[in-house]
Amino acid sequence: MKYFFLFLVSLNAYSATKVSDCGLYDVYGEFKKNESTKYYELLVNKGSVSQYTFQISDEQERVIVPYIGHSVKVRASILKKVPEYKGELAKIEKVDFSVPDPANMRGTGGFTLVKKGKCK
Amino acid sequence: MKKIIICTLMATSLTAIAAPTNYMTYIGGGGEPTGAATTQFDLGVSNFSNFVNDEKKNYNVTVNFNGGHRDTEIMLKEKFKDHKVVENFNQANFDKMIADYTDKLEKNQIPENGKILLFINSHGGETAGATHNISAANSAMTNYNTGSKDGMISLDSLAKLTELAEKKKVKMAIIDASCHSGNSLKLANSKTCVISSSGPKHYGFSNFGEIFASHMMRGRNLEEIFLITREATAGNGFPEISTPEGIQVQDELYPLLTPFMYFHDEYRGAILDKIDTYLKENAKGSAINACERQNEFVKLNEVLKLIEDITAVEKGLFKKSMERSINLDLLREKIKAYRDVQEDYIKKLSEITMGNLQKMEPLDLGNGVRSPGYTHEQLLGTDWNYFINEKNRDLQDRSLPESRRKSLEETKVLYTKALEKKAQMLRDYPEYDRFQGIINSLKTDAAVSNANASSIAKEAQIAYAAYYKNRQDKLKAANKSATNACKDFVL
Repeated sequence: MKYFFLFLVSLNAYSATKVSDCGLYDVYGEFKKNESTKYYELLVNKGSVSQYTFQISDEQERVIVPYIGHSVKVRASILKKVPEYKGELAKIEKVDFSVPDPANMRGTGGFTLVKKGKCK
Repeated sequence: MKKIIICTLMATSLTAIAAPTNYMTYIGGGGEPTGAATTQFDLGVSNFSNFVNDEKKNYNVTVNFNGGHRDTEIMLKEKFKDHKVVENFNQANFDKMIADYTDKLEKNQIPENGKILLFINSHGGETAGATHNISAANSAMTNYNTGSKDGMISLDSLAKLTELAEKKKVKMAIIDASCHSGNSLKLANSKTCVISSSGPKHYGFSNFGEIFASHMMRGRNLEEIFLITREATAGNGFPEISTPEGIQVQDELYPLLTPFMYFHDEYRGAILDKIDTYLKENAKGSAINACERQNEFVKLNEVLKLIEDITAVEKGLFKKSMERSINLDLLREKIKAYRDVQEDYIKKLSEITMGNLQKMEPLDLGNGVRSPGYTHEQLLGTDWNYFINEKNRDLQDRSLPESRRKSLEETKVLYTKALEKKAQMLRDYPEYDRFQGIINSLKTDAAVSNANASSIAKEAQIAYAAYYKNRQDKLKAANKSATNACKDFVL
């Protein structure tokens, strides 16, 4: 029973550098302008081989603009698989500043699955 | 007889060519601006070369420093031509260094009482994990408190190495000359001496690293070098050492001196600030905070008096009396003056009510269109002019499809309305303007400057040195100073 409980706890605290399911996520990263498309992008695991890029629409930019230039935690739905590390955020529910802490496992990048959902 | 002579000669020659079993590694030089020819840490590594070039028979030396700074690379090749130079200081090379030392220790290739000295000279962030992070090559610093967003290396991974060295009875030393390096003292143990250029909550913008390296000489122990260096260091910081004497003196002095060594400054366009946050946090607090600050201030003065009293010496030929050997009045004066300034700022800031920061301000975009808008905090904290100019630039691109052009125009209208609302808010809520005005005044106030905080740190050195010496004498008298990893580490 104790081990089952520990297993549940560890599942709940699960965070990763990859997106394997669709659903509601806490995404840790930062917004950067793509000068060729003129869209902002949310970069996760920036500079690493597993860097994710989520394009931010103009409507979404109007919500996240106060957080541009900072490390952020974005609660958002991902409703499509993310092939080749490039994707979109279906709906941004909340944005917060995130204090960078490279020593922390989660660091300044990564994903925490809040609620699993179906891919569309 | 002939055979004995030959054997003796062979043994002598083997001893002469045997590789040294003492090791030194110099790491760092990271976090410097891309494209710069040199790093601010070059003088330190250059001074270090003077010692190791004289001592190449006694130490295996590796320099894992820099990465991408042309003149620094030339200097390293020239100064360390008889040693191993690894040019890119990054996570992989740092991990390799730890793995190599671990391997040598596990295979007993470093004998009991052999020595490993690790000299760190890089930018360093605040507490992270058990210790702190230092900057690697190709990661220009963007924040001197947390470090740059990429390319920081955690020193936590040195813990296993220091534990293994202790188990194998190998003497180890970590000289951490980075900012916030007091965090590294947690790596100390009975065989590992740790020396830092600053306390865990402070920058170490000083010449500690250079001076320490210049005082490295054969026969000197690390405690001696630390004490000489501390006295000669100029700049901000509170150098620390892991000896029992150091721990006691630091525990008693550092927490109480901490707010008076905070300052506001800028370096390479980035803010160096501890005082703004300290004042804001204290202004948010209640009267209890004010009492706590007062108590700490009283306690600090008591500790300073205690140091003056216990370091007093007997004087007078016939009528003996105790006379102070040190006078800390100047330190008291400086601290009192800085405290008055801090309390004045805290009072002014705490008088301003900031209760509306989370209030939403909807924005009227014209033609009956309304946006949910932004909170006061978001409106105040965003540089709307920057984003309006950005949209103007984007709209100059004639290849944009009409639908995208329209969308960008709408975004520009929203940001323009937000800018107008921000201006209106600063008129309607004068407390925001006053609050920002007080914070802005810290940028030019000499009383909260690096120079002032450094002068307090310099005066505090008198108290530190006298108290340290007193503790040394006490431990010596009680014969308890035998186990001191810093004193035992003789170069």
